Amino acid sequence: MKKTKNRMIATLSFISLIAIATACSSGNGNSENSPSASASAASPASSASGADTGKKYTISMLDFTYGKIPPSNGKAIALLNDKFNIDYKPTIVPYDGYQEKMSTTIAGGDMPDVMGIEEYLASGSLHKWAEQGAFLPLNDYIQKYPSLALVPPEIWAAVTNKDGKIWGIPRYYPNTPTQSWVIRQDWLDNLGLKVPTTYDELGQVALAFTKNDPDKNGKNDTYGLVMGPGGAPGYGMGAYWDRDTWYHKDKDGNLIPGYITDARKENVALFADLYKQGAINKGFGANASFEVGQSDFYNNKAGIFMGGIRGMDENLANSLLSVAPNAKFSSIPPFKAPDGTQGLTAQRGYYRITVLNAKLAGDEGKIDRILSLVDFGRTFIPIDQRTPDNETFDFRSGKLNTGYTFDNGTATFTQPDQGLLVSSYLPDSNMWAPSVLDNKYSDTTQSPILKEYVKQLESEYANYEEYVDPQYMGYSETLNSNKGADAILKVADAQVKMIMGELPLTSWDKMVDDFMKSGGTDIIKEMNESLQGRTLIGFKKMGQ
Amino acid sequence: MHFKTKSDRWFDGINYLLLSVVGLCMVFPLLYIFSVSFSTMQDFIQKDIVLWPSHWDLGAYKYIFDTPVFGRAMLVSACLTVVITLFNLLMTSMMAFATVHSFVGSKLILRMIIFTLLFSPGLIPSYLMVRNLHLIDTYWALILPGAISTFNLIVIRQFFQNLPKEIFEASKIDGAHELQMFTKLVLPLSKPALAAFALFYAVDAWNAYFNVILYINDTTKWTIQVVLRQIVIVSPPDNNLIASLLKDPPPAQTVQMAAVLVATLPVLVIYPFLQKHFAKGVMLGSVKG
Repeated sequence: MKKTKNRMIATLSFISLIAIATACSSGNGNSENSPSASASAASPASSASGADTGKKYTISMLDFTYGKIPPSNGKAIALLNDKFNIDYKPTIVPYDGYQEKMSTTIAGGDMPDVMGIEEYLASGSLHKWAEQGAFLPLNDYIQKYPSLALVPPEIWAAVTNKDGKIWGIPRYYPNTPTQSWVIRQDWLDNLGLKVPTTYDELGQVALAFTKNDPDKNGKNDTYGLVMGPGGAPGYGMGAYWDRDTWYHKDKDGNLIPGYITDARKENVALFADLYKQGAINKGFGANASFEVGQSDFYNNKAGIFMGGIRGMDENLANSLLSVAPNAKFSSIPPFKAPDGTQGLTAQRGYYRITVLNAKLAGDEGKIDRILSLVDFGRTFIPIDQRTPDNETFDFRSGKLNTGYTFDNGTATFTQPDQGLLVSSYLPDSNMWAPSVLDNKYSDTTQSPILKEYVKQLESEYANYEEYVDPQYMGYSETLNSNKGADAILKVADAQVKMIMGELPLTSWDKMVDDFMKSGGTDIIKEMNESLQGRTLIGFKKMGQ
Repeated sequence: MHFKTKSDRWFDGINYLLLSVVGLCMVFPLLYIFSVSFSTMQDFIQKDIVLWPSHWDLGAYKYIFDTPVFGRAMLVSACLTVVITLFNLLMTSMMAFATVHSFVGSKLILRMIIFTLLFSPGLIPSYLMVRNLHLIDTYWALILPGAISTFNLIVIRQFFQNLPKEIFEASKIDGAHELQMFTKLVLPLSKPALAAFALFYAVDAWNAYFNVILYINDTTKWTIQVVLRQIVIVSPPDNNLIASLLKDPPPAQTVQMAAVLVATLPVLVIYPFLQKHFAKGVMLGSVKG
């Protein structure tokens, strides 16, 4: 008797528990609306139309940094408040934990007025939020602000919804080729060879580097191509061969990823042959990291590798000079593809996105104030004008002798955690260079061996076209999931095995088949669907 | 009198050897961290592994303690740790004591508690709760949501259950009420268990990072782990080896090691004092004996 009574109480209370739970969740639904109500109540003049510079706006901002965190009570905030007539409330958190902070604030209905997002951190959610209209459409504003008007159409396309709404402002990142190639010119000279212009010549040079003692030290201690885990770099000497680029089409006219194309198949066959003859580092597939191969190149052991217009390590270059004082780099320009094109794949051209809260819609004055703030941070200052005389530079650096000091033509900035640097508080402080060449990378490179190489790359960048990869504009959910990553990983793995001779080249079709079955079909379908109606740019001359 | 046989001695010898090796494995990283944090750049570059600095250098510590918010963050963390530990212990033990007694609905409450162990609400509901209680940017956001750890509650409850019932019956006859039983009998008798969980809660509070990022926007309220993570990940301005030989800022690696040491030191210091209770408390709580 007592038992049944207990059970009844338990059941009843369980029901009430569920009732409480559902009540809570419906409460959540309501609360999502409430902040918007309170937000509009907080800005009473929101009904007033048009930009009013006399009015003070409270602007909240959320972003992350890889660097030191500026304090929330820094002096630089006062400078910004004065200049823009705002009450600025920035929250800047470290990279670790930002993903959760971002998703909870958005899901909790607390999204600030302006927010920085990193695509990889937000991954699929970003597209979901954009589609759901969480961000303010910016189409009407982008021509009004000089630094926004500089953004090329293919980069706007990456932050445009299916229905044509631009929902974010991409931040500057150079759009130079994803991979550029570097070859030891001094070795070529020693052997009387020329910089290769076709894959045949590349293979011959790699073999000569392996067998003909290019460093003339009488020892058989050199080889041609450096490869690392996953078979990277892929030595795609043009978008046509690039394994990561969506360039080729299948028989139905759908774009497909480079990994499964015939062009890549021919490359794999060539590399397998070179590997057999010792021109590629032994066992590269098992290397712990990319750095293992890289150190071979900078230790005078290998002759061909990947380089770049920026971000090459000067210490490594100097260490090469200490073992090989005569070392000299040349760039390998893109090869002419069978279809007549000649150009490497461009990079995305942006990294991280600034978004505005959709709830700002209608409050033109506040939108203008926020966008002016964003525009200010993006305004490009030519390298030689970054002096105290330049007003923009002086202000964004927190004013002379406060935020920075200037001696002998070089500015020394205070650390962001002192709160004196205006730029560390801006919603977007990456200056948008009109052209990559404006960054003058060759001037800022110190190492003599790299300086010459970077110069060469810069002229290459001006002379050749770059391919705008359609996948930057499209989106595939499967590709962004673990399933997609696994499928790509398996293809890469199979190709490494083929190059290393562990898997016969005849299994290529089976590899493609497996890829299609384990998600490839979906990836191709989703990507092509999302690209429908978009203008694909193809090759474009960017370096002007 | 028991004499050790030859095989006994062998056994002991091998035991000592193995345990020393294991012990060294534990001590070695700490010693390395300690030594590197006090070394000069020259030492660090020239020797592959620094096990004892030849020149003692306080540069790394100066750098850390000169970081603008360091002192404040240290104070915040210390106070929070004390408050959180005491508060959590009080909450957990009171709840545990209450559920040991059977009263109307006590089983239900226990089931609801166990329910939270199986199904956690997730991040966003927790955030919404904290936000709707207006705890964002207050220290309460770090104290209240984790006041009772379900797992700890169940272990402490088990410990309370194993206290001899006769004492309670006797005290009841003597006229003690529940609160008196709790403060005069249960708490003094449960010192080992409480000490163990004090350590658990204290370490958690000291290591708080994620909640701080999530709930605290005001950088002046940040705890030491957030500040230290900054120092460890974001190295001093000149990370260039040659530059740091010449310039003021100490090398990144020594600063990082110093930061690690500062972050773990309080836990290392507290642990030996609680260790004897610790082993006893956790064992007694879980095994009926």
